[in-house]
Amino acid sequence: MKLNDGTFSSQDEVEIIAERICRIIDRKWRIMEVCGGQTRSIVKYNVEALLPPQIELVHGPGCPVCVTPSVVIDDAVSLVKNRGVTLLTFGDMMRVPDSGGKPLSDYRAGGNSVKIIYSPLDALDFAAADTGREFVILAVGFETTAPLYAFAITEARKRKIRNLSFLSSLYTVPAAIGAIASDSESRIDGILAAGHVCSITGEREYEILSRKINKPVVITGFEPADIMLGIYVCLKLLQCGMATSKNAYRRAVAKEGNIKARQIMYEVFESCDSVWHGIGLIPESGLRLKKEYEQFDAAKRFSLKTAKMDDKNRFICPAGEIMQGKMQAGQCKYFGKQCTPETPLGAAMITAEGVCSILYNYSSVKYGKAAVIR
Amino acid sequence: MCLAIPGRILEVKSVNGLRMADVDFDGLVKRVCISWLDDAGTGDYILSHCGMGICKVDNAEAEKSIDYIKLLYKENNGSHETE
Repeated sequence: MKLNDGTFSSQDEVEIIAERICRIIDRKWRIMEVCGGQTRSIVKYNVEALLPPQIELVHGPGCPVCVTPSVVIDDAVSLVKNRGVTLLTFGDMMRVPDSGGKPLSDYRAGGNSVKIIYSPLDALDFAAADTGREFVILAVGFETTAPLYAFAITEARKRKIRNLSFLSSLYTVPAAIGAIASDSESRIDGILAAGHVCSITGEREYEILSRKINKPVVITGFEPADIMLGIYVCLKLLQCGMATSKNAYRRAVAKEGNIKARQIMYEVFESCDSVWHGIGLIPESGLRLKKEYEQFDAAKRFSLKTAKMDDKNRFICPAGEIMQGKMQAGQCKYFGKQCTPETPLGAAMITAEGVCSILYNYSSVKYGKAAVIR
Repeated sequence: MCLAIPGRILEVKSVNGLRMADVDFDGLVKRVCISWLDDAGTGDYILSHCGMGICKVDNAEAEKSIDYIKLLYKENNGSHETE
């Protein structure tokens, strides 16, 4: 089998699983998919059209770009404007606004040094090529990306690259799922966990999580058939009353995950409480540099004095409510009116994996009908 | 942002002491670090995230998923559920 030949996005496969779901379902369920990549597949390929009306899919926190507080962008802006550093970041972050509503792309257009990187490892070459200049990576991500920053940090130490540091906004997903699933307002019955996060973490953290929240958690992939399979497995667990975890994405998620990636992540970072934009402070849901690596901490190197406040209610954008399943994006009074990808009021309308951006670009709100599964 | 793309390893090489691979992403060939994938070699499919191989795609498990969907097809058409 060729593993990128579209087998898992075939309409036949998806319809088979959907029919099975329709036959066994016996009551209403609300299932949250955690990852924006899954949300995009669900909306783009109109997966919900094949599901019975008893299943309501709720779109979860989605993407680390969406949950990064604007105070982190303020810090990044302060570094490029006042300290003369070159800021390195993924393209997704360029349009995320600071507290004043101005995105990094505007600061770059104004002559400040902001560069887009494809991989954290690119930063090593940038820094090594210009040792007279300070480079700072805006390190945003979940567990999928955090080990790459850790790897870049260890490589920087090995290669004696001293003009590189990290402005960290890293999150760990299980704590956030736990907080959302335990919130009675969210009314979540089951969880589809993000497959690529689990490629790193493995299954164990989700076994613990499902017991803690007393709900089924199913590790799920990203192609339409993967998602339908995740829903089916979750449904079977729900209808049997089993609060356990299952792996429905075994081709990419080994039981033990990626041990080397996890080892390097926890060699460099340690768990900490963290603020999620729009949601608030979640205990043990973030990663910070360990003391022995603090020479790479941009906040310490440049003595940043950011107030790490909970910015839950600082903006009119209700994305926090949407990301917790308390509100659907289409119910937001700004959606598609004042708030569009061209005039976003929040990060969820900016990034390719933000729930509002996905719904705006692919759903019936704009086109009358979503794309058909190929 | 946690996007990971499947690609097939064309060639493995050492660059700056790191295990790297040229990976074919359906026609586009990119250099990917595979230092975390000891058992991945030429011809294997991997998932790449931001220039780093994060897992080898398990062909046998992919086949099992397809077989499972075939089983569901049989159940839809009247065969007894065997799970």
